[in-house]
Amino acid sequence: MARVELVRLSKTFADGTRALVDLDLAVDDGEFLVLVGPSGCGKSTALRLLAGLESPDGGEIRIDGEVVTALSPQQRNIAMVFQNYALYPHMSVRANLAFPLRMRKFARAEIARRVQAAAELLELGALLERRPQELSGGQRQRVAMGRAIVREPRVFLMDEPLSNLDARLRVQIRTDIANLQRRLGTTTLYVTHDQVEAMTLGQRVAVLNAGRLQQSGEPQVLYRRPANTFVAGFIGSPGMNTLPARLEPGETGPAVHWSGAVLPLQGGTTVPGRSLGDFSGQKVLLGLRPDALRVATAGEAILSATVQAVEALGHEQLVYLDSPGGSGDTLIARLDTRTRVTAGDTLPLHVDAARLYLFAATGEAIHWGSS
Amino acid sequence: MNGRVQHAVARLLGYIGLLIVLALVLAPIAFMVAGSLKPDARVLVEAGGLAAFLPAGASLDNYRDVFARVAFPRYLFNSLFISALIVIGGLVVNSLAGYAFARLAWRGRDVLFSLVLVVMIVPLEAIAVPLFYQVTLFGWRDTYLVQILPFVANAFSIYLFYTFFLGLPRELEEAARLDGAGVLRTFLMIILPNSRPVFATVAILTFLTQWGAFMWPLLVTSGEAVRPLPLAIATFYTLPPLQWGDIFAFGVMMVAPILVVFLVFQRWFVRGVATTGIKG
Repeated sequence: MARVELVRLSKTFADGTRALVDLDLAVDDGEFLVLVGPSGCGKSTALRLLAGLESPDGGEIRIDGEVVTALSPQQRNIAMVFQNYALYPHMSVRANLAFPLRMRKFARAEIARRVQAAAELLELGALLERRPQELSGGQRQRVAMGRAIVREPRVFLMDEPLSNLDARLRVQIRTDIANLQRRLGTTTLYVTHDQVEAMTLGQRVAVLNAGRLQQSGEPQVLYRRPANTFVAGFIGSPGMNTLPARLEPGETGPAVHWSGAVLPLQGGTTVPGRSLGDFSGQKVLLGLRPDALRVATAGEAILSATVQAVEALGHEQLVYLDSPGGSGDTLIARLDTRTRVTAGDTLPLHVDAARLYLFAATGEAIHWGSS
Repeated sequence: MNGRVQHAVARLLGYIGLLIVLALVLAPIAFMVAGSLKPDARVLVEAGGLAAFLPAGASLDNYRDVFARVAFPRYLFNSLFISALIVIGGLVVNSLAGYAFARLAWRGRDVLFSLVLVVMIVPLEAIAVPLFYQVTLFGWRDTYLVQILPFVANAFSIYLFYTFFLGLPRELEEAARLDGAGVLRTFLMIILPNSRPVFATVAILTFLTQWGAFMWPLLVTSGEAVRPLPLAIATFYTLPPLQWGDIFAFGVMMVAPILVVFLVFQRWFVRGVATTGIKG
């Protein structure tokens, strides 16, 4: 059990890649934090720095207030589950589970007891004498989890532990991991590039891009109140549309001018520290969740757009539209399946004015819609 | 011709080709074994025909001769002792060096590794004279030490270990570090058990090279006390009478240990050649 703090952590690799830039992040005792971002965003580097497998160029790592930056991996009492599991191929499952305990000179009886307990918890009892290569992907994953939990470490690190599994198993084990973590109550940092995994697993999610922390918070907060266009586009499936627009004063208050349409802002929240008035008459980015768009009924159409492609998902369809105004952008709408849509159609669209997001031209959020 | 017939013919031709190669490889060995069992006078006389491979009127006289003429057990022990120590010492030293080059970060590593690569192409003959001078100064002539120590650390072996270790998944070592193992324990408990092929390859290649060592022992030793087998067989050419039957018998006894070593390690050796990408 431990509180983990990363303080202004920086890492530049020998080839000049700036993997992390002044990362500040704290994980509370017992918390499940997911680090998410596109590949190369520095999330795995953050994990490896915390594990002690790399050393930072600047900044500090603290566990329960103690600075561990200079400690070796074995002194930090942190366990890690690797993407490829890194099970020792020449050892049985039992020996794999016992290895971290043997290294720490536990008594033989205690090793046997803990291995047995972990095996029961993860339903590995029947597999204890097998070698890793005789196991399925899901079983290997469980052994890797088992090896992490046997020694009751202060912190769990998981580096894309589900990415080698097929989609169905991934959902299953995702739930198992969440349950296990709740039961053990061990502080956990989990790295993934999959925002669905992040949203479903994390008590808190931290979004990284290009080595910088973009935003951290509860999954719903990231979805409802993204700090910038990156988070808005990354969280949600598909992510938010961001489109060039202008903010102009209107009769009833500020209105967004977009592709000839005028959308008055209704409801929503202005981001603390921002004032809509400061952006009046300026270029802004309009954010629209795919489900804030729908096919207009007679008389309510605000604009129309041509369909590029349709992905039918059964209960809904994702419709890719040429953004009105000829900017060349693609607009994604999530529509119900009652309207039959085919590529080449021109659709009259209605936009839910209460759900408009606004971002400054630099990408920072100005206004959050209600959703 | 349809595809199946074509396929069968191709296979047949392939087998015939392999049989020819096999015959070429086996013929000298068969000649040696047959000759070692024949009276001396017939060895060269029959060498021109198929009779060369037939040990008609076989006897062990030549083998008895060998034991009578030289202290064969002494030479055999010397060869085994020297080769074994070079192999064992070499496995320890070169595997650790290869691991340090492949996985540990330390100052001067890359410069030193380029030096290792350079040393790899320098043949013993090129440095034999200065080395001879050096060991003479040390007073090491006529010892086992002088035949062992210069050959323990070996650039080619280091290179083989290095390439093999580079191919092992790094996460295995990282997992071991996190599990609480230090560098040496990681090497002994995780790397070593997963590197049998390269250990077998290096062991066999080292053994083969050292078993046939001739020039260096000839330079630095005299007398039978510490000399290996190749020097003993040479005396059969230089001290009359020149008896081919005896030489062949000696040859058979000298090759036998190599075959044993190879058979023991062959399974790993083949895998080692495949994984390290070297040719045996």
